[in-house]
Amino acid sequence: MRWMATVLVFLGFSACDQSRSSSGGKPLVVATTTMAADLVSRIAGDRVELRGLMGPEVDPHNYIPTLPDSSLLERADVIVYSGLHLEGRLQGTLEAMAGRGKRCVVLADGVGEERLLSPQQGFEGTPDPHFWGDPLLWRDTIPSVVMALSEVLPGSAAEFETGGRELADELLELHAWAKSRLQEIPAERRVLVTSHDAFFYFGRAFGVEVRGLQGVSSAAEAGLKDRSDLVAFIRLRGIRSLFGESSVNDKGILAVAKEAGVSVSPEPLFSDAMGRPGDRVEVAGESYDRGTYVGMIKHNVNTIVGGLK
Amino acid sequence: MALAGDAITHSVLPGIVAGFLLGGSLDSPWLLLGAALAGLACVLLIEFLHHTLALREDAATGIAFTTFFAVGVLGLRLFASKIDLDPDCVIFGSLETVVHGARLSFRSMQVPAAFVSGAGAVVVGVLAVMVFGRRWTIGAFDPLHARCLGFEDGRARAVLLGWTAMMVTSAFQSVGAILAVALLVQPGACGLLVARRVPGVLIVAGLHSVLSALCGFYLAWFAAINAASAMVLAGFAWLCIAWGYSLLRGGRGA
Amino acid sequence: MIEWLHTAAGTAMTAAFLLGISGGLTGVFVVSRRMALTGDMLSHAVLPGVVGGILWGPGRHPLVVLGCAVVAGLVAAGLLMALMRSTRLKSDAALGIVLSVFFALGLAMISKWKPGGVQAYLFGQAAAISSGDLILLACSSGVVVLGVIFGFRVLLVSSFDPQHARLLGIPVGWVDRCFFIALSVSVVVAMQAVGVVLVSALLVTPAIAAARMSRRLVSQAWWACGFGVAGALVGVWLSLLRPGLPTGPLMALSLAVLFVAAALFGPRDGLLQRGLGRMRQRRRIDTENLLKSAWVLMEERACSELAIDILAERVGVSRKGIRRCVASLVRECDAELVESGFSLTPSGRRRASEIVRRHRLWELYLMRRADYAADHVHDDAERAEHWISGEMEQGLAKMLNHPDVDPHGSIIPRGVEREEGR
Repeated sequence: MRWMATVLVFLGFSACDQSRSSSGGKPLVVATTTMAADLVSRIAGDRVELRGLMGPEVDPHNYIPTLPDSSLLERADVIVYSGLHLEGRLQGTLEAMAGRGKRCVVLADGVGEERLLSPQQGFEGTPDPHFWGDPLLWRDTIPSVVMALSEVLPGSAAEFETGGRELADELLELHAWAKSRLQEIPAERRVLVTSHDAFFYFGRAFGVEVRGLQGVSSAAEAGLKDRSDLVAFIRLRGIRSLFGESSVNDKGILAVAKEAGVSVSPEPLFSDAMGRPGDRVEVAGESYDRGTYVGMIKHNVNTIVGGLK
Repeated sequence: MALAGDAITHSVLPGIVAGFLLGGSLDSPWLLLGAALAGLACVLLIEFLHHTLALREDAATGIAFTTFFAVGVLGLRLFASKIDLDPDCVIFGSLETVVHGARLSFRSMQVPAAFVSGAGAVVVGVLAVMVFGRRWTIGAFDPLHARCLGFEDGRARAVLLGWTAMMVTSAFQSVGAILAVALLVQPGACGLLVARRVPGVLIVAGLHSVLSALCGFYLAWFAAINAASAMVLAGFAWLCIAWGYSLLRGGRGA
Repeated sequence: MIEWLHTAAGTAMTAAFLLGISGGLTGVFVVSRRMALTGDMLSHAVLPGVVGGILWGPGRHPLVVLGCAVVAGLVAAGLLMALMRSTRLKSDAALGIVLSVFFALGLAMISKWKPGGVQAYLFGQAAAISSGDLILLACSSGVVVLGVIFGFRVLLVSSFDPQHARLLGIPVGWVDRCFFIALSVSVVVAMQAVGVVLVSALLVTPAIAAARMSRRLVSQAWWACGFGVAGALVGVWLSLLRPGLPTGPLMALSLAVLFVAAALFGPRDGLLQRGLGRMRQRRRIDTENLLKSAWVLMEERACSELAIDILAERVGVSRKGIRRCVASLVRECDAELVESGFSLTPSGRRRASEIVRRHRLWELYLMRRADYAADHVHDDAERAEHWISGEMEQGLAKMLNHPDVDPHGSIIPRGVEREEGR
C-alpha cells in the first residue's frame, strides 16, 4: 500500500513536469560527468542550455541521482553520457529512456569496440569505461555529439561542426604534448600507481605502466590481498610516489603508501571528474584551467612527471 | 514483529544475488522470487533457532540476518563481474529512477513496471487483510483468545510473515533495504497512536503513508536529498505529530 | 614485529584481535541484557553522527567522528526510551522507528553533501584501517576490558536483577548509561571493519556461542572473547587468500560457523549430545523391554535358558536386533550366553522382575486410582515401566496396599525390599 502511494505521487509529478518547457527556447542538453559537460560546452558554446549532473570531486561510479536530476533528465532534449557503466546507477535508467525515444549520446559508442580495453581484474562483460584518458579516443566521440546537436538545432549545424573540428585539433596537439612530456620520465620509472583502475587508456596512449589498488569501479572494496599485492609490487619495482584521485577516498592509497614506505603525491590526479571550472594554474610556463578536459590532462601529466621523474 | 521486518530486509540480499545470477538483469522475475525465498528461509531459520536451540528471539534474529547478509555481500563480490548490482542500491534504493525504469504498455498508456508491481501488491494486500485480517488482529492483541477461537495462529502467522517478505522484496528496489523497515513500521505505529480501534488504525496508517510520501517527495525535490530517506523523515514528522496528539489525549494506553 | 604491524595482514589481524575481544565482552552483556537488537539499531543510528563528524572535523579525524557518532547514539537511545515510556508501542516497533529515522537522516546527509570515506563505515573496509584507527581501537578495547574487570560484579547484578542491584546501592541508571556509551563506542569502531549491518555479528554471535559452552557468566566472557577473536582472525585470513574478498562478511560467516559448532558439540545442551543422549535412552528401553520379555517367557516355559529364535518370534524383532540387545545385556552382566541361546544372571533376573513389577503396579494404579479400563492400561505401563524410580515404586506399592496380583491376574513380583525383608 505504501509503495503505491509513493509511485503514484511520483508519476503524477513526472507527468506535470513534462508540460514545462525549457527556458529561453534553447534546447536543453544534460551531461552526466564533468568531462562530458566540458565536451558539449566546447562544441556548442552558448547555443544550447547545458546542465551537468555531477560536479567536481563527484565519483560517477557511486553517483546517486536526486529528484531534481531525475526531472532534468526527463526534460532534456539531448542527454550525453559516458556509458560502459561508468555512471553505474544511472545506466539502466538512461538506456530505458533511450529505448523510449529520448535522444541520448553514448560517448563510448564513438570509440570503436576494438579500441576498448577489457579491465585487468577478470571482469567479464563490460570493458573499462575510462577511455577519456586517451585524448585521441576522446576525439573520436566528437562526431556523435555534433550529430546529435545538429539534429536538435539544425540552424547551428555549421557552428557545431567548426567547434568540433577545433576541439579535435586541440586534442591532437594535447596528445603529442603529453607524450613528449611523459617521455621525460625514464622508462623503468614510468609506473603509475593510483587508487583505482582509471588510467589504463592513459597508460596505453603514452607508454606508462599502470596499476590500481581497486578495480575498475571504485564502488568495490579493496580487499586485504589487493593491498598486500600492491605493496609487494611497489617494493619490487622501486616506485617512489603514488597518486591519489580527486573523486575517490584516499584512505586506501595512503595506507598502502605507509606500508610500502613511499609517499603520495600532494596533488591528486583527476580520474573520473575534472577540477573546478575556473581553477587556473600555471605550471612550467603554461597556464590552463583545471576545470576543462585539456586542463585536466595537462594537470595529470604535470603531476605525474613531477612525482616520478 | 517489527524487527522481523528489519531482519527480512537484510536477509533478502543473497536471494537477490542468486536471482541475478539466474536471471541476468535487474528486471528479471528471478530476483523477486529469490528474494522472497531468502526472506522466508531467514524467518524459518529464526524460528528453528528459537524453538530447537532455545535461543531468545532477538538473539536468533541477530545471528540469522547477519549470516544471510554476509552471504549476500560475499556473493556480490565474488560474482561482481556477472552482477551489475552495486551494494549502494541495497541501501539507498532508487525511487528517483524507478519511474524511468522498465515500462509496460497498457493499451497505449505507458506505465512504469514498479507501479504495476506496487498495484499488484496492493491488491494482494487487500485480499490478505480481508481473509486473514481478523485472525491477525486477534492474534496480535490476544493470542490466547485467538487459540480459543480455533485460529491456528501458526498458519496465520506464517502467512503474515510470508506477506511481509513479499512486501519487503517488492519495496527493495524502490526504497532500499533499511528504509523498507520504516515503511513497514511507521504507518502502523502512527495508527496505533491515534486510533482506538483496528479499522481506525488501518485508515490512519494508510493516510500516514500517503501523507509522508507526498511531503517526502517535496522535501527531496527542494532539498535535493535522497527521496527514500526524505519520505522516512517526513513520515517521522507526521509520527511526532501523532505522538504529541496521543500525549495530549492522556498518554500511555489512551 | 613493528614492521609486521604495518602490513595489511598485520593491521587487519591486530584489528581483528581487538575487535574480537571488545565485541565478545560487550556482547556477553548485550545478550544478557536482551539488547541484541539495540546493538543493531545503534549501528544504524550512529550514521548521521558519523557523517556529521566527517563533514565537520578537519581531515576526517577519527576521534571527532567517534565523538559525533556516540552523541548520535545517545540521542537515538533517548528517543527510544521516550517512545517506549510515553506510548503503547512495543520495543521492537520503537526500535524499528528510531533505527530507520536516524539512518534516513544519515542517508539524506550523504546524498546532500557526499562526504568522502562514508563507504568505509557503511560496508567496512578492513584494508583501509590506518594506525590511527588501530590506536583508537586499542584504547576502546582497553576501556571495555578494564570496565568489565573492575565493574564485573556491578554489571552482573544490574544485568540480571536490577531491583536487587538497587537494593545493594548500585546506581543502576549510571551503569546502564555507561554501558550504553561503551556499546556505542564498540559499535562505531567495529563498523569500520565490518560495516553497518554486520556489527551485530561481532557482538551477538560470539556471546551466544559462549552461552552454549557454559552457564557461568565469567566462563561465558572468556569463551566469547575466544570465539570473537577466532572468528575475526579466520575472517581476516580467508580474505587474504584471494584479491577482492571482503573481510567483514567473512568474519561474520566464520563466527556463524563457530556458533554452529558450539550448538552441536557444546557441553550445555549441545545438539550432538542431545541426539546421543536420546539414542542411548532408546537403546536402554529396547534392552529393558527385551529383558522383560525374556523373563516372562522363561517364566511361562519354566525354563532358565532361552533360544534367540523363540524370543525373536515372540517379540517380533529380528534375530540381529535380539542378538544386539543380548550382547549389551551380557556386557551389563545381566545375561550369559549358553549353548542353546542365553540365560539370565541373578542380577538380570532381579532387574527383569523389577521392571515387570513396576509395569504391573502401574497398571493397577491406573485401574484403581484413575479409573482406566483394564484393556487401556497396558500401553501406558509399557512406557511407564522405564522411568518409574525405586522410590516411586515403593510409594505405589504402599498406596495400593502391597498387591500380589495385577489386573490381568498375573502375579506381581516381589519388590527387592520385600525380598530382603523376608
